[in-house]
Order: sequence, then structure tokens, then C-alpha cells
Amino acid sequence: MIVCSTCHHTNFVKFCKPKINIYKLLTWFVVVILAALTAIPFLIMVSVSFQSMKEIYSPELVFIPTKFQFINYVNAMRNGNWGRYLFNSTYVTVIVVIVSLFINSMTGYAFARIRFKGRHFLFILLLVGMMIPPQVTMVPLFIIMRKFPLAGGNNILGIGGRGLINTYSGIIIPFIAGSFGVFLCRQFYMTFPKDIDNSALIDGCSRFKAFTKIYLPLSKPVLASLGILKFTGTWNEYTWPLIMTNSDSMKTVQIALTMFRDEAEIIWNQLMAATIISSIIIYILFLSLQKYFVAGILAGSVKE
Amino acid sequence: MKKANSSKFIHKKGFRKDDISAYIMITPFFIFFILFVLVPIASNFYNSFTNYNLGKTRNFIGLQNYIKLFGDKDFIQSIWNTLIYAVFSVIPLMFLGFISAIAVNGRAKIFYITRALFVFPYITSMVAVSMIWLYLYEPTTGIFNKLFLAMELEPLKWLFDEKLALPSLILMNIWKNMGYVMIIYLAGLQGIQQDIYEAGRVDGASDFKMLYKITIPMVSPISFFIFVTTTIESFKTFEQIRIMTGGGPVNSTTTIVHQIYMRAFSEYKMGYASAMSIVLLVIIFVITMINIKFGKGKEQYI
Amino acid sequence: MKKVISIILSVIMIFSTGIIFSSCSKKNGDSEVSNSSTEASADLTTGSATGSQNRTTEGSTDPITLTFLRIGNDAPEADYWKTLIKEFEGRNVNIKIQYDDAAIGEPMETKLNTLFAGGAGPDIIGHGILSVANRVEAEHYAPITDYFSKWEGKDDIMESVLANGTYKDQIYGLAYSTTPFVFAYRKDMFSEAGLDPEKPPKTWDELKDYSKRLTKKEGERITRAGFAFPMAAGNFVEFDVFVFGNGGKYFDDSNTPIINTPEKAEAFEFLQSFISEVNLPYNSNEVNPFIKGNAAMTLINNVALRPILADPELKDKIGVAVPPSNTTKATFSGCNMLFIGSDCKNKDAAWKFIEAALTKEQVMERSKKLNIPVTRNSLLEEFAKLDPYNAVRAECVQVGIGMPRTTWSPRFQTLRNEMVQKVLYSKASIQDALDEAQNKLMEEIK
Repeated sequence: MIVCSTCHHTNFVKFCKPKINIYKLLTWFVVVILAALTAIPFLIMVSVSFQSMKEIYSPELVFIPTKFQFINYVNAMRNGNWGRYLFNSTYVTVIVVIVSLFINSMTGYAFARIRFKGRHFLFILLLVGMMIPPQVTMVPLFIIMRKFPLAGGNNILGIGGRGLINTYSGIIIPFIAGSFGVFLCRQFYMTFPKDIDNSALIDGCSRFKAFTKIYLPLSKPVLASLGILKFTGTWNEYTWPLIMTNSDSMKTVQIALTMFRDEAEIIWNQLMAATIISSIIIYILFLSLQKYFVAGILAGSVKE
Repeated sequence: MKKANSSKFIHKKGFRKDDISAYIMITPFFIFFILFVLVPIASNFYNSFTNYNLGKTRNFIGLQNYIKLFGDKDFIQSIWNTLIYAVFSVIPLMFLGFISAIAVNGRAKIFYITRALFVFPYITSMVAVSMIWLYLYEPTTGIFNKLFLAMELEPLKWLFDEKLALPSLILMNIWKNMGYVMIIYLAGLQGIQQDIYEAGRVDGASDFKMLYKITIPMVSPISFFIFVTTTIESFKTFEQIRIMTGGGPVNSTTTIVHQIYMRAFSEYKMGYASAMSIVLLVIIFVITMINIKFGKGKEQYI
Repeated sequence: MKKVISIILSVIMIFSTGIIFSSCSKKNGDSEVSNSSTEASADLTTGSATGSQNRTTEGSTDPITLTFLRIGNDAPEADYWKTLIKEFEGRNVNIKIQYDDAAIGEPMETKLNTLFAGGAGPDIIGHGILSVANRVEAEHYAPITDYFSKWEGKDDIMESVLANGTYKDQIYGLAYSTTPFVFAYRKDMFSEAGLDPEKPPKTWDELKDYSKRLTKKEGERITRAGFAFPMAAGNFVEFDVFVFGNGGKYFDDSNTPIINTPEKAEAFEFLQSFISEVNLPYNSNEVNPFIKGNAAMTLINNVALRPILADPELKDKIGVAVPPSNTTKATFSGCNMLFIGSDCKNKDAAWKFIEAALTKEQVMERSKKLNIPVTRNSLLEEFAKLDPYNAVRAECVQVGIGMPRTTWSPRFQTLRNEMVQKVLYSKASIQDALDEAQNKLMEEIK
């Protein structure tokens, strides 16, 4: 695809002539349908967040509430200590993302561009790390966290205190250890042309320098994607923070979202309102990173 | 493709300077990985040969758990369900995600909006999404059936119909994860050098041919990534099963991880559940390896 | 070849690491102090809670911190507990209680199991009947029979309720809340159909008859259920109500399951004979059609009636009764109890808190604030005065039976759900479904 400088459209067309292209039309048709389908549940969510519980229970379909109950949003935030919950989630997620971006890209680069001994074996190990469901690794991992030496009152053998339980580090660490990010960066760096390494080599760069001076600047798309994905994954994670925290002040947003239901009922409108508030943050992040997903950044990066 | 001109880094026995740089670069990650991922997995592997019950009992019982698995009808049903779920999720996801990525790859404002729309299901938590779709699928007051009635169609029982329950969940899965596939393909598309398209155009190739001969092969590492991760995620499906169907009706929606959870945390049979997780691991591993072998003919992955 | 070697290498490595790691895991009896932190001042850099480590000796005035984990995380009950805790801490200056909760179901089970497996089990636990047998066997709960024998309320507590916390002749839990299933019906719909609104059905035949008269249809489609019954569920206790009402039990005196007895078959036959004509299917995890106004009668968790009773328009139209029965007046009644965790190092202090939560005043406080039926016989009169239907609710608690208190009850729950679904969806004959459940369960117990 070309970025046409005069009309700022990207398209498959050779010249910047508005031309009817069958494939483009077909693609657009599919996309429009998909967009509509995607939007419906989202619109419902927004609608429910403004309804009263009576409207939600009524047998008729209420699409536009009679009265927009903004109070739902206020009540939702009063259901517990939401200021604290939002802070906890943000803190944990931001740290995870920043550390992950750096460590994962560096490791991914090494796997993709350096033919080092043992890379097959280590890569398979990485994949295996992703294939086990968390339900069975939670308990051993929890025990490790509890017995972490020199933390939370533990002596050097990890006995005596509570270890990393109910701490931010305890929640953060397993997210950094996930192989997802390394895998993504590796695949991304594999798409780079082979000549880049040679150019760097001729210029006398060490591998690390090549990484920081050449690859990193070109990594904006993958770092943006990894950032969004890691942010989403960490922000939406429920089970691990649940078992690692045991006080109200350490709860995260996902745990707090389950507080809108009890044995009697689910307070749908507040739940939807809280979910929208919780999703907005990720959404804003995505909107601001969108420009990195755009074509044309890499044009002319390799000097022949 | 030509091999890189790597005259300086000739294969020699022993550790080269290059290897050492690599090891240094991967060490920070691997410290975390070994301590917090591999060790728990190893412990889990060991557990699968015991009768660990989350309490004081953890005695070695050899292959008993695995033998029991062969006769466990619920478990076998769950394997079948999970396979169907995975196949019918991954293929549409990759297809739809790829198309949408190509379609919205541009700077125009309309693309911004469409991208934002597509990604919204993905960034919403699974808990919230499950609740919304429960609401949509409700047979009497749910939106889908209301629309059906309005269009004079026969309302369906959705999650209460043992033939429709699993497809309903698959549909929701595709809806939710399309944004994920799109994001990654978008990033991958940026990595393609525009000059190649220039060259293609000079050679007189049509758009479709360029798509087929250039774009798809060039993003094959990304496709591999998406295939592996969406497959793994599909096989690990649990949260929505727990919230929406509880494995029913009549076990038509129980998945492997759902079985694992029931055995481990509801029935305290952690050893048995560990054995299940190893079986799951083997299945996913085999599928992934097949895909690697299959792709090796076209492009160098490893 | 290289790949095969890589795989074999990794398997060997993983297995040996696993063995080494597992043999180093916690054995009970590590010298530990469990009360080392409070959450109040969270240090932001490491996030670890600061607090003093304390060796606690009984009777000393050193500060003790107890962790309390309750099942269910809704705000109203959370507020109640936090108020009680404040009061308690005011009267007992050296005891601090750290409150925590987890949603019913997977969250609570996962959290509790992981905590205990890691040797960090809570000191006081609020949990239900299903947990008793398994957690006692897994040594999560500590027996409180001694404390109970010295308790002021030991003769006052309802028998059915006390039974719920008893296992193998030891008492482990004392109830703080009960959730009986009641029979709810719409008086206005009764009048409309020509039935006496003060006379809900008492027998099965009446139930069947009334349901048919109260069902509204549009052509072939049912628009208002005469009697709403779940078709999918996390827990089919509504079916249990019919079994108990027919005099059936799920386990005999030696704790062996007895699933395929005639009482259950009769209950199934009864249901099958009319349910498809009068029902709007729903999942018991969602809102009951009765609450939405789409059903005339139903079996429902007492707590779940709250939204419809809070509606001023509908409040007077709702009637509550003991469920109709065939041979024995009975219903299902769940129950949440306070337990002491086996990792607790200060059982006396923990018992103090439990005592404080179960005084007459607190029991009445909970009924007023949270609409929980009382568990103490002496309070029945006062409770009945609070609300016209409370006498009915209390009766439901008295004739209420809970989940089996056996180690196989979780498996039973899964199999019972499977069995009910099979029959409702006509996937198997009644006797086959019952036999299958019985056989599968017997296999598990071996």
C-alpha cells in the first residue's frame, strides 16, 4: 500500500485517481458489517448503564432509556473505595508495561537476529511456558511468592513472614515473566530484512548497540501493540490479584467489578457504568497510540 | 531467500562472542521466566504423578491419574468440545482479523474510528463481556430473540440448547478477539518495506496478486504468532464457561480447563487436575509443532 | 534429531526441578508467625504492608491481628461486618481484624484453597455447608466443639442450623446467616385467574393445577410462566426441594449416597408431567422470571426476592409460603457459618469474635439490616413481628435441609446437575439418569 502524499489516502490503487476497485469494495463491505456487529453489544452496554433497574427488568426492549440516569455512574463509584482500586490497577499495570516493553523487546531481538547456541531449545521452552493453564500453576506460584526470601518478614530461607503476599510486587512479577511479549517481538523482528544486521556489522556496532540504535527506533509499531496488549492483559486480569491481595485497600478494578452482584441480583446498570469507566482508560491509551499503527513509517529505512 | 552474508560470524565450536551477547540480553527475562513460570510448571508436572489434594496429602502414585483420564467421559467430552471451539474460533479470527487490518491500514480519520470500534470488545474484560452476552442470549428477554421476533423469525434457545450453546460461545469468542488479531496484523503490516510494493507495481502485478505474493508471505511470522497464541488462548477457555453455562447444558460446553478447575478447586483433586493440564500441554504442543513443520517449507521461522 | 533431544532434555529438566521444588514445600509445623502485617499503611515503593511482627502468647496484651475472609462480596453485608469489626475492636483493644471477602463460587474456592495450600489460611472464615466435609478432611477448619460447649447460645440455636456445621460428631461452624428457598407467588395473578390469593398451593397436585391455570400463551409460545423452574443452573437446588418434599434424602446414615431411590424418580415424573407447558426456561445464575414479572409462581432464594419486594408497586402483590410438598414439609436451605482456620495461632481471640457476631443483638441486627432469617429459637417471636412473612421464612429455615455434608458433595452437585438436565432435556430416561449418577458417584468414593 502506498501513502499518497497529495491526498493522504492509502489504497491499492496505482495512481491517486479515485478508481472503483472491486477488492477494496468487497473488503469495505465486510468491514462495515463487522463494525456494525461489533458495535451492537457495545451500544447496549452504554444504554444499560443509563437505565434504571426497572427498565432493565421490563419485558419490552428498552433501547433508549426514558431518563438518562447519570446517577448510576456516581453510585457505581461509591460502591467501595474506587479511587483506591483505580490507583492500584493503574500502578500495577504501568509498571508491568514499562518493564515488559524493555525486557521483552531485547529478548525478542536476541532470539530473532542472533543465531546463538541453544535458541531452538529456549524458544520451545518459551512456548511451553504459555501452554499451561494458570489454574494449576497458581498454587505453586503462590507458595513461591509466600516464601520469597527477605520479603514481608521472611528470613533468607523464606520462612517467618508473609513474603510478597498483599504487595504490589507480588502482583506485578508474574506478569513480567510471561513469554507472550518475547514471542511477539521475536516474530516482529524476524520480518526485518537480513541486510540490516550486516550494515550494522560493517559500521562496527555490537549487537546491543545495533538493538538500541537501529532496531528500537523502528520498533514503534510492535512496542505500541505490545504496550496495548500487555496493558489490557494486566488490567483485565482477575484471578491472580484476587488471591494475592487480602485487604480492601489492595483490591484491583477487576475484583471490584464483581462487587456489583450478590445472591439476590446483579446491579446491571452500575456494573455497566463501572465497566465503561474501567475500559475508558485502556481506550484512551489505544486512541493515543493509534498513529503508530499507520503505514509508511518504515519506508526507506534500509540504505542500499 | 539468500542467506545473510555473515562472514564474521562463522560457525565455530565453543561459545562465540555473539553467543555471549545474546545470553546477556536474554538473561533478565529468563530469570523471571525460570523462577516464576518454569518452576511452577515443573511442580505441576510432578503433582500430576501424585494424589495431591491441596492439603497434607501428596503421595507419589505413578501413572494412576493418567490411566484414570482415559476412562473419564467428561474429560474426553471436554477435549472434543475444546477442539471444536478452537478450530471454529481460530480460523474465522485469523481471516476476519487479517481483512480488517488491511482495510483499516491508513491515516484517514475514518480508519481511526473503525479501528477504535474493532478493538473495543478486546479491551473489555471477559467478565463484563460474558455478562453482556448472557443478557443478549437470554431466551425470553434477550435482545437477540427480541430482534428475531421483530423480524418474524423463530426465537432460539441459545445457551439452553445443547446444540447451540457451544456455537453461541464461539460467536462471542470471535467477536471479542477480532480486535486482538487486527492490532497484531496492523503492526506486522507496518514492517513491510514499501519498496517491495513499488517493485511489484513496476512488474505490473495486480493488487490481489500483490496481496497474495507479497503481503501474506511477508507477515507469515506474524501469522504464525497469531495462530499459536489464539490457539493456546482458545484451548485455555474458562472464564466465560464458568459465568455463562457452567459447562452445560448436559456437558456440551465444558472445556478442558473447566474440567481442570472443577477437579482441582471444587473436588480438591489437584493431582488429577495436574495430569489433565499435562495432557492439554501435549495436545497444544503437538498442534504447534505440526504448524511449524508445515510452515518450514515456505519460510524460515526458526 | 536435534529437536527430539531438545524435547527429552526439557522433560528431564522439568521433572527434576519439580521433584526438588516439591520436596522443599511447606510442611505443617514451620515456625511461623501469621499475624505480621496490617494493611493500613501501605508502603508505595514495595507496596508491602508495614506492621510489627508479633509472637503471640495467650493472655498477653500484645496486639493480635486476625484475618477474616467471608464468602460473598456485596457492599451491604460488607458494611455490616466492617461496623461490627469496629465495634469489636473498640471493646477489645489488643485485637485487630483484617476484613476481606471474595465473590461466591470460583473466586472464594480458588482463593481459600490457594491460601491454605500456601500455609497462609485465614484465621476466621465465613463459608457455606458444601465446604464443611472437604475442608475438615483437608484440615482447613479447626473443631470448635469445646468453645461451643461453653457458649451461652448452645441451647438456643436451631437444630437444623446447628446440624449444618457438624461433621463426624464435631462442631466446626456456627451459622450467621441462612438462605432458605421459599415459594413465592403473585397474589394479583391468582385473583385474576380466579384463585384465592391467600391460599397458595400446598400439595403437588394443587401446584400442577394452579400452574396450568396461571400460564399465559401467545399462540404456541408461553409469555407468562405459571411456575418458573430453571433449565440450566450452577446448582439445581430447586429440584432438591421436590426431592425433600417427597421424603427423599441423598445420603444415608453411613454417609453413602442413595441417589436412585423411588422418591427421586417420583419427583422427576411429577416435574416432567407439566413443566414444559408452564415454564419459561432460565438459568439459575440469572434473574428469575418471577422477579421480572414474567411468572406467577416460583421457588426462589429468600434473598433474591429483595428487588421485587423493594418495588412499591409490586410489594403487596407478592406472597411467600413454604413450598408445596408431597409427603413431608421441607425445603432447601443454605447456610453460611463462621469457622476457625487451622492455621490460626490465636484461636481464643478468634472465638471471641465469633461469639460477638452471634449474640442475640447481632442476630437481630442482621435480620433488620440484611433481611436474614434468625437462627436462634428465642428470637422467633421478635423476628415475626418485623415483617408479615417472617414467620414463613423462619419456618422454611426450620424445615430446611442443606447440601450433603460429605466429602463427595461437590462431585454430587455436578452429577445432580447433569442428571436433572438430562431428564429435563429428555436425553435419558429417569431411571437411567438416576442410576448413572449413583454409579458415577459410587465410583468416585472408592
